[in-house]
Amino acid sequence: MSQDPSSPHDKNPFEVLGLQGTEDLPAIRKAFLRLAAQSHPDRLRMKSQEEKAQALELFLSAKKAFEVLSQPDKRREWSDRMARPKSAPTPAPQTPSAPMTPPAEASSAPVASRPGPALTPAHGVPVASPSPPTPPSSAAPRAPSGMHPTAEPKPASRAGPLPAMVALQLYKMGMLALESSDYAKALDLFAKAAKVSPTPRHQAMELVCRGHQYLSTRFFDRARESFERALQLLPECREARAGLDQIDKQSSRYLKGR
Amino acid sequence: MGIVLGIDLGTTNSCMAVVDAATGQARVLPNREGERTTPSVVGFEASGKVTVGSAARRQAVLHPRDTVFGVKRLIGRRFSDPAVQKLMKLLPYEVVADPSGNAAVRVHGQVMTPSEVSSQVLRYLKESAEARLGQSVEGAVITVPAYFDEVQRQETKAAGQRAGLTVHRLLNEPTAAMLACRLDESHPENIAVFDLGGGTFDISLLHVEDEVVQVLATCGDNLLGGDNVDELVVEALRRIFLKQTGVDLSGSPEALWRMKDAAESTKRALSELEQTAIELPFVATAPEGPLHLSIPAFSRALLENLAAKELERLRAPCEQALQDAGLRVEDIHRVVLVGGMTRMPEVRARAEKYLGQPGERSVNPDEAVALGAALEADIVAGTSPEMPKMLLLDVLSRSLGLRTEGGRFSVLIPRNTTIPARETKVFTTTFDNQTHVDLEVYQGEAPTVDGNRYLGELQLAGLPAAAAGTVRVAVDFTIDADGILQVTAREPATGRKAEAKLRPPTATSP
Repeated sequence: MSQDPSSPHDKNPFEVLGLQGTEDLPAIRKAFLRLAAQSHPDRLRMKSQEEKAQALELFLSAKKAFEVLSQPDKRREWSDRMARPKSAPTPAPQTPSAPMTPPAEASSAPVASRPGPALTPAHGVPVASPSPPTPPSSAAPRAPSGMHPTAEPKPASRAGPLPAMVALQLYKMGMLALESSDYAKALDLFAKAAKVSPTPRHQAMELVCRGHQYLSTRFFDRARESFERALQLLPECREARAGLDQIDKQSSRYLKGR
Repeated sequence: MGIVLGIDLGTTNSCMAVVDAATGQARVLPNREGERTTPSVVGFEASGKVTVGSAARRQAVLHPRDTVFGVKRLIGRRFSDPAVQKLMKLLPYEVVADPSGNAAVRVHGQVMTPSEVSSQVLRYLKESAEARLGQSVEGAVITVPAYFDEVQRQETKAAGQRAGLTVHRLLNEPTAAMLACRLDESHPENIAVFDLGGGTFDISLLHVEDEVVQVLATCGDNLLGGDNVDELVVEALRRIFLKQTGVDLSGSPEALWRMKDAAESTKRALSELEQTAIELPFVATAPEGPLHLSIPAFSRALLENLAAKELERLRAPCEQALQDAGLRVEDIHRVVLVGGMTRMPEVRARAEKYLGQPGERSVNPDEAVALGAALEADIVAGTSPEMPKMLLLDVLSRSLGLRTEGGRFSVLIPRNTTIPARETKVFTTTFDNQTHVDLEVYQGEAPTVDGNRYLGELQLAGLPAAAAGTVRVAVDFTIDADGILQVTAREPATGRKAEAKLRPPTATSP
């Protein structure tokens, strides 16, 4: 479970919010609020527990991304990194989580981590002391441990974003967009997911979204073609079937209306 | 499913509202006496009969010791709290410590917690609503000052449950008021809600965009409100009377009640008039006959002079909130004034001075909070067929964290974090061969835990014995949309885990 909070760190917060990396704060806020509006628990009161839990993860990662990007220097840093080719994201000089920890604590941390004069025995058991959260000032006294303590909770993060994780995140967001009938957004997200990890599922969903876009502009034959291609790619694709049904319904209604 | 009310449980007055299922509009429900707001006053008769609202207020002069008001200022506080100690000197009823050391009231020799007293008000509102609607009331969204801490919130929730209500959510008052405002959705706006009520002051800065209301920052003062001004006026009246007649009224609860009443109506009158008269006949008796308090001209300037020092306390929270939200005064587009005290011209002037915009009078300062609560009730426990469009992203008003070595307070979730929220932080052991850690959870802004509020603790035992600093414990704080805090501690090496849902203690706080 604690893997989850680390997952937003694994990828660029701009990507989490489905952005290009060049947006300014109002646009970033807009993207966050849109995701929040889709995934906030209050919006899902009719949904199952599972869906709620899934949406909560999405909400938390979007919130985290927004919090990071609210800080101008972090925004610049991630924007720079977004501009570089995605395949080789070099580890940042600082871990992304560093700005989350208040600086005041960094200075007190090395003191607290030494046994020193324990002031806690009044309460019987000494409580944990914070492990130094920021490297520069606190790494020195703990040299023997040899690694930054903050790296601990997120093992794979050094290697850069895992394509599967990124794709999964994009896929989840795409499904939410699809659910709220935002086909353009969903199409964009699935296309990105398919690019990162070209599985039949992602490609089929991309086609489904395209089909819906055609459907909304009443290009029934093209919509049908898209849905059918999606089914060819992924025969068990429910969304494509539902799309085909929708075409039948809508086209007959449309013709009747004529 | 029964009706879900929105209740503004105020320090001096309470108000309730409900969303009409057919139209989706919120409206205020009058109480049994037909009033749109109900004084938060409870009278306890020796026979055990309880009166609430105006009825209790009317008999207060006769039974000052058995009439309890303003318990919102005591709720969830320790008896030893300096604020409580200061407050109890001014109250005609008796304030005592309950067995666990929390502030409570004693009436007819019986000790009652503030939460029990509040539940009487809530029960009265619930029954009034049921009588008026002819339907059973199942639950409520109750509003609390944004700056209430977790203990005060839990106690308020307990009051609701005692009154037979399912408390679907506790909503921050300024946010509730915002929901009741008419919004301009065409472009994003930053709005400041300045809420000065009978006993508490809150300032919230919000960003409104596309039907999403995002709280940016909130700050306040839980012991600043109209009652403070009333008390200053009472004190002034007492001194004037002492000078005029040589009789000190501070030992007479009856006279204190009458002066408090007079102070409040004087304050209200001076919001419109430049000066007013105070006449209190027969406030005391001297050997030579009855004594009267008579002040033919009590001016607005005098009131403002008396209140100046208290009102100066409005400044710091406003500046803090702006700083936390990362906004400048120029970034505020609108200022919404809520709470009865914002009728006072001096308060309006200060709000404009601190927030840069004149306050709007578009909302009814007494009812906006209840209306907003009703709308939120519709969002969380919806009864109307259509999904409400508005979404509210609220924040945690005070930082949450752990006690670390030496009594230092280590923040996990800083204040003004949007909820739901989750934060994880890794800690290490302090001593060699330490096999368990006690995680004490606190809330507040002080750098040491002594200055903060204790919320509870959990223990993670069975850690591998090793040198100090080598065993790591990952602590995870999760707050859900209802504001319930879940704490999980994990030792990654062994996978040992301890978790607790924090139910802030009302019993043994250190």
